Amino acid sequence: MQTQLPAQIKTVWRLRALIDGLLWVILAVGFFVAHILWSWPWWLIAIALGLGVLHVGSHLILIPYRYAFWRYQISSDDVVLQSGFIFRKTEAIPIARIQNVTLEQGPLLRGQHLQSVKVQTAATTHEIAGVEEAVADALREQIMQLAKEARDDA
Amino acid sequence: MTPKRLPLLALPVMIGQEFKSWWYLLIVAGSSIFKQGFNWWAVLGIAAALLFIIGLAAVRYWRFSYLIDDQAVTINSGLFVKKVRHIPYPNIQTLSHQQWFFLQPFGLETLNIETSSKDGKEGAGTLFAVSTSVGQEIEAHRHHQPVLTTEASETEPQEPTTPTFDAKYQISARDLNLYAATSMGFLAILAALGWLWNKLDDVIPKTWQENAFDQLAHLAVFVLVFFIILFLAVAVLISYLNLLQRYYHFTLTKQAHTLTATRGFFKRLEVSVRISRIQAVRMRQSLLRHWLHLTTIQALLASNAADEEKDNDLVLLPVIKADLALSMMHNFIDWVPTTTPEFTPVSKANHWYFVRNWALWNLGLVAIIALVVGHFWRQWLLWTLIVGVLWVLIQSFQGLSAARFTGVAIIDAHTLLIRNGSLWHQTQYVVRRQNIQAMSLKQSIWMTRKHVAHLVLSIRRGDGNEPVEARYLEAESVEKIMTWYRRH
Repeated sequence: MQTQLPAQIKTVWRLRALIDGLLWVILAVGFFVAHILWSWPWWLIAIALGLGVLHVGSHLILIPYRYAFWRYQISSDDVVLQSGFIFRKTEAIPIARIQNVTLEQGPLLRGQHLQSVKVQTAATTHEIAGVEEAVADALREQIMQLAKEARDDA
Repeated sequence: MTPKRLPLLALPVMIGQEFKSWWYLLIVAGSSIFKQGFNWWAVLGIAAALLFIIGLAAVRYWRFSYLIDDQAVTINSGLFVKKVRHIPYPNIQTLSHQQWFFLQPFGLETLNIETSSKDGKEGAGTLFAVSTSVGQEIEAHRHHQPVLTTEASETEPQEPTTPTFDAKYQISARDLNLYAATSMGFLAILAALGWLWNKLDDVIPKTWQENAFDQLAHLAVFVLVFFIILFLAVAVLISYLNLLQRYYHFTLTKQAHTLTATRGFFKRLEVSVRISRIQAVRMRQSLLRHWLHLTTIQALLASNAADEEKDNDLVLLPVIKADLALSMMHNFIDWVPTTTPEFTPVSKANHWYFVRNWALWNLGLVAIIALVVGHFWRQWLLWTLIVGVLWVLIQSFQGLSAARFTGVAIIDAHTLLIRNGSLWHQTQYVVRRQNIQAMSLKQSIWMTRKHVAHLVLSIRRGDGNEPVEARYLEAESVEKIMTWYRRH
């Protein structure tokens, strides 16, 4: 049973892209001030704005794609994460290798009542970008319980 | 029990250690000598820097004490912030003994204790110049206590340690010579010499340089060539002698469940590691060693056993004939197979992808360099293009050789063998299923149509992750390996 991320995650991603855009705007304003005060070249402003539009635009355009092809699946044996269509990637993390599960919630995720779930092994960290709060708690319980069982079995 | 102090001889070793991390202070303090010639300020600066380094070591020495009891090694240190580190014996991942030649007559050695803690330095402890009996005591505690390991599924009977070895390998003079002679280490030394030259360039007065260049300009070409060859020869010789002294009398022994590697001329280094803690066995060869059918075998560990050599890998065998590597290693680590029966290589039809990728990437690189050169130094463009085309050809050939080497083999239900090629190197890993932290399958939409996929394993190495990738395998075999990995 493969689960898709909740649709609210798209809002979070969009807001994140806009915040990135805001940083570019601030940079452009900085260049504008520098242009007025110390007559820095004006094309620095254009470059900052151009890169900003490119950055934010590409993010916004890719959000539906990212959302459509991102799947996760948790069974009693492993956590499987799948992403992408043009560049497809399937990751398998056996429950027995999981050392930690971390739930994280920044203001953007909190606004949408979502939490991100980070699964850590001895070497790697894997992230489920956002799930509903209740689901996140249940997932953490489930993964840790399964991990405990897997370890007791070994 | 009261904590013990380090012997006084630890002080020079600790000063040496501090010197290693602060030596550049001396250069900074004395740099005005290069610009203005001899002056007392520089001497004063150097003296102050020396005093600082020695003072730092003295304070460390003064505040340091350790205690060895039935449960753990306890280390107290720190001047303002007192720090007490407990290292329980079962948590010790590797214990390494270092003995500088001047410590030998006193029966002293430096002990490095490593755990698999992710905090790096925090989980480790170093006892400088303690009596060799301390090391023996810790080893005894390590072996007599049951091991609290969760990863090993098979039960390991605890045999009492006996002085006889289950397996032993000692490097022959011929092999050591071969190892040092086929090393590419001289390139690093060349780079270091080049860096030093660059730095000297900054501090040596311009008039001296101009004089030197004037002199050089009058020399005939063959004298210049002679100098270049001399430069190279010095680098090769330094690297050769350094490796000889470092791997002098290299010995690997197996005793019960522990492997011990011993080596070194000026500084004797002994590292022991429990076999169950080895994350993977890696057999790596440079292209030069590949042509000579030689390989180096290392163990990947979850700690920095070889910390001061700046890598996390414990050398198990410096050099061995590539076709003997597996069977030799099998004597020491029983899960290493002697043969690879079901090896799945990259199919011939897919070799092309490797060549294409290596050629395209390097073509891009050469194109960028050529553009820059063409814009600023037009007269060098032709030479750049000639060298560039040669480079791309060499790289395409490397791609082909990587394609021929790459592949995977499922040895049994618990063990996997994987091979890949990278820049100038070819590597073979033997890894147990329980030590593969995660596995992924990667595939682009075009690869899906051709039934081709990449396989990536994540293995713990040092404090981080070592991704091991085998590219352009048949999708079917990658899926077979995913199933092998995911089955409960």
